Amino acid sequence: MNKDPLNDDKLVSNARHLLNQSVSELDADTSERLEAARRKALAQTECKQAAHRPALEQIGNMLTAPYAAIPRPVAMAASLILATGATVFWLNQASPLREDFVQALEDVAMLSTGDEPGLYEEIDFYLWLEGYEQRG
Amino acid sequence: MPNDTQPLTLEQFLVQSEKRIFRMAQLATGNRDEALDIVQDAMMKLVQKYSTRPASEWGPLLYRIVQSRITDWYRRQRVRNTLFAFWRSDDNSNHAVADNTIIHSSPATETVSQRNNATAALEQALRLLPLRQQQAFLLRAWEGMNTRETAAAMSCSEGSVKTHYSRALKHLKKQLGDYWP
Repeated sequence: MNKDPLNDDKLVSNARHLLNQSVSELDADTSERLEAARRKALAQTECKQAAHRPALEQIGNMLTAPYAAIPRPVAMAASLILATGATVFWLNQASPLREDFVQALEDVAMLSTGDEPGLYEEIDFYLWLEGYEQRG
Repeated sequence: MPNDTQPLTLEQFLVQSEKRIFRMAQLATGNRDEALDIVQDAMMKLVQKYSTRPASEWGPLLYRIVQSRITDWYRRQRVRNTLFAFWRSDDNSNHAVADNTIIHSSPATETVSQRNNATAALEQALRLLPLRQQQAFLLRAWEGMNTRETAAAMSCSEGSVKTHYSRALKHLKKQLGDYWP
């Protein structure tokens, strides 16, 4: 603040002192009403912050709000059942990708045994021969 | 006023300021409830519009809002009093309006003499000042604002502030000479 010759005036210093004194001596009722007014004003900032929550969070809240009354254990069990069902359903699907993947695994198993590839090409014949010898 | 080491929260700022702006509004209106309404409006407006501004700006903004609200109140009262005066003159009544919310209403001289203290005398003298002089005096002398800050709070030029302040001092010295020789 700028220095001003008038600030040294006795009138100004007396007035300042008396006004400060009057502020410190405000009655309790007025102080309470001022406090209430302040709290009401500050409550706006909380409302404002709530209004600026991320849109995704608000959408999530909107979607889950109808199910808020469901107890948490029930909701978890239902989620587990749904997840298991979805997995089983997916595994039972005849997907070309999955068949290729299983075939590749079988090929790797055959190649890793060290047997002749001809054995697997004539596997039906050798299985019949084994059964015939056991019967005979 | 703001701490030098750590910026105030908005709540701390309002706690520090609310009683002072209430007293300003009370001196201007002469009515506690009107003053509380003005303070409430000013705090709502500050929080609503300027809570994200730097803490150093809250003071000038709050005083500007308060002074604006006081000026609005003053204009409304002037219109109301004009209408009341017209109504009463129709009734051939020469009585003054008894409402203590009249523009710059002042306590009766008898009340001041009964209370006979410097605070009451100061309050009366301040209430007798024209609004702009009263604002200039309170902002300059009480709040310690410089001419530029006062001009910003009062939405006027620095020259006007100097004029209002000078006249306010002159009137107050004349009014309070007996109390503060």
